[in-house]
Amino acid sequence: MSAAQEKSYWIWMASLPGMGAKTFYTLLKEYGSAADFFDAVSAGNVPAGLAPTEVMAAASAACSRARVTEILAELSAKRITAVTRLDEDYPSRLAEIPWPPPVLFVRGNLPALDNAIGIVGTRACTRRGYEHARKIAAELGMPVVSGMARGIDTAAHLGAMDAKASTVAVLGCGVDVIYPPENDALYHMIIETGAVISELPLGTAPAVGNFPVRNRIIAGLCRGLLVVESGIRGGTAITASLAISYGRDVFAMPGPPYLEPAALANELIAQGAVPVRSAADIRAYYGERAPQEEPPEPEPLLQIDFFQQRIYELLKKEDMGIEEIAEAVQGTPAEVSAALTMMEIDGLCRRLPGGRFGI
Amino acid sequence: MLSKIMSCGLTGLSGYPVVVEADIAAGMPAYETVGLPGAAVRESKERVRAAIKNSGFAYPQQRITINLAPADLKKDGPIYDLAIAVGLLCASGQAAQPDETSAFLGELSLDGQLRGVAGALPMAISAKEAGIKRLFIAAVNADEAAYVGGIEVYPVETLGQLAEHLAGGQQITPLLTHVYRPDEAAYCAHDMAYIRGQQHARRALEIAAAGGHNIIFIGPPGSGKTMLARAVPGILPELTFEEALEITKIHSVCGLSAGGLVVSRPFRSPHHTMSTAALTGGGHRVLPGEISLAHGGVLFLDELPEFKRQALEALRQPLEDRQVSIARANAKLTYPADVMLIAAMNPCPCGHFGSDKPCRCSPREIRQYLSRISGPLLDRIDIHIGMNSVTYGELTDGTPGESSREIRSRVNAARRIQRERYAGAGIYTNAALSAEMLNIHCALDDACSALMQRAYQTLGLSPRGMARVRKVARTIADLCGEENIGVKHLAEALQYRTPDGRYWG
Repeated sequence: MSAAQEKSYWIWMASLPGMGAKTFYTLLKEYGSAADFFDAVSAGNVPAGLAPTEVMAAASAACSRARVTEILAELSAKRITAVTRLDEDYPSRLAEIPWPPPVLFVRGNLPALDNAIGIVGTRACTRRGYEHARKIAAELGMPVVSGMARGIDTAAHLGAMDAKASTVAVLGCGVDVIYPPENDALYHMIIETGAVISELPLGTAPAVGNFPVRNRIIAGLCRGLLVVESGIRGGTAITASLAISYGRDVFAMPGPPYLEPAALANELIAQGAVPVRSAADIRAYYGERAPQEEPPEPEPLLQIDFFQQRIYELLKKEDMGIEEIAEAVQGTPAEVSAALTMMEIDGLCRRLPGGRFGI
Repeated sequence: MLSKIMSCGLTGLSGYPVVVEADIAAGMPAYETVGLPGAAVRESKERVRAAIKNSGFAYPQQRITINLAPADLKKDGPIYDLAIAVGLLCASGQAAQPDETSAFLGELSLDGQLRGVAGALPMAISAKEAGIKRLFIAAVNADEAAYVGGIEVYPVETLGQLAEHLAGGQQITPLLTHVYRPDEAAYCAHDMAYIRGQQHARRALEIAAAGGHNIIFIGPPGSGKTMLARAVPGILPELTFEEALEITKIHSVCGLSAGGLVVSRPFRSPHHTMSTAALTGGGHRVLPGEISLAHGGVLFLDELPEFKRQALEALRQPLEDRQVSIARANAKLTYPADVMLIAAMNPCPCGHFGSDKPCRCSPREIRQYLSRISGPLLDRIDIHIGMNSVTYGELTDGTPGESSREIRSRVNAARRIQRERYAGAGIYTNAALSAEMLNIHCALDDACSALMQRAYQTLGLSPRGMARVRKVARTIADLCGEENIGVKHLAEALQYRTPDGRYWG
């Protein structure tokens, strides 16, 4: 039995619907190799109780050489590679965790992930949290791992790509399924410079139960995990606790205690996570210095009048509506509207949904 | 015996004289109505008979023929009851034949009481134009008709009372011609002073009222959209007599006038389940729709994306032409529809996108929700306002805002400037400016052009969007009483532009 043949049976096994890592390794231990399991299934002498019945039913239904060839053909047609635990290029950190995924389906090129940082957070993030996450990811200078969900995950991937760093998205569905649908463009950007990966069979639809399992891969792949914004419960909390149990460094971006999306990060800091204000904090933790100590970003040279200057100072603190601004600067809504237009044109502020302005 | 009684008919908003001829001939008792009578006219036979009997007269047990001339126009409604009853009394010699400058309008109840009819005002106007000197009409309609002037309006309570009057007995006193006076109390029912916060939206409404611009509010539930819209009729200029007359005509035809003239600008707020015909006019009797009922006032469409797409598209033409033309098999009518459209909508299905509360909608749901409103309709809305919820502090702040009366005086001034500027051009407000007129009346100096060009490049304005911004800037300059559009006017106007891709993706 050549290694290539054994690999093809691994891929066959991993492509069975319902086959989790735990079942996979139980069967592998019992039969010694995936090929032997295949033979046992085709001979029809697999005792009950080794694996869930639906997995066994799927295995006997798909137990043919034609099916194995078909899976391999589909992979190459969709330009998807499969990395198994037997392979040299299987991410070494991931191999350390309990029940590592036996097979990773990879779209794109899996970069070296020895110093990767996972960045995770809520889908319902604040605009500032989103922007800060993107900034940290961009300034990190390390590969970024996240889950391609809405919100913070999207910011993390985009930030890494802003800085031309590699990034890896771990999906909770088949690697050929784009979810959420609006991240179609993001998906294709990621596979250009990094990789989208999943352990689930091709075509698997996103289901609630898939995501906690996906989170263990994010926690397993990275050296340290940065929690940006999240409620105290949810997927991010699961990822963080997995990261702790795997012995990963846990970083958290502190936030104001009254802000609900800051709750998890603050809680983690209280428990001993490393507070992170900017990418420099993470770099410093690993004893790296920024490529060159950049001077703090200079204030934009303001060629604006005093009135606009005051509005600018206000908006630096928080997003505000026209009425609030007018009250704070003692102007009429008409004056403030006019000033805001000029500032918008000069790129000093921008209009947000709900009639608000921010910088 | 034959008698001829004058009455009135109604097509659309204009009336026409109708001669009701009643003939009583010897023969078997029979009753025939000719002259294209509708169902309600046919049924008048039963009401007339009972009313005559119950008023103490004898119903002629002979062959009766009623003709409604001109015989080629379809007559509908119970308005001819009174004329038919009077005709029968005259033909049977129980009442004196009135001369042909007297006209009779009204529905009879079985006991001889007179009920009101729809369209009293337009019929009174056309009666006067047809040379009628005296109009006998139900007392409930009399106030409305008495505004016409040049025609004596007799409020009639019962058929018996009228017969007495015609016979020269107890006379009915005609009403004095009413003099129109705008109703300040009605104007202040929804005063701007009661609205807390929302300074920005108030300012936008003032501009919209001054220039006749349509406006859309986009904001979460509870941001005061409906309350603001309700206050708008109160800051529009007072109705002139001609406007009041025209509005009352429309309301009268629909049977909505509550006696007397409409003295404040209408506010119509149709529900979003409304059919296209109910919105723009039509139906079996080709009555005016909501957009015509709002003529001269405000048409408020709350929850704009919930309206049927077809209904919204049907609004486009009337908004442009400021009138509705309805063609049906039996009629082709035009109703005025010069409204200020105020639309309100949530920014997303759950309503909280962009507000303080978390939004539960996916980007795709938001896109789908917003795409229910077509670009061409949005192009007819000059002012777009994003709103946020009113804070607790603003709600409880006891200081009243500026009153509607103060705002109205500024609106009046701005409207006067516009009327003078567009004298003879066939338009009255900046909102109605055409593309050619825009270049004449909304010329931009060098500084403004430079600003406009930068705005075009950096803010993602469309060419149509730029035209709208210029109109609004013109209105802002008019409110300031300034001859030319200045940079500050243009800069403010730009703030009322369509929200960028975030809303209309």
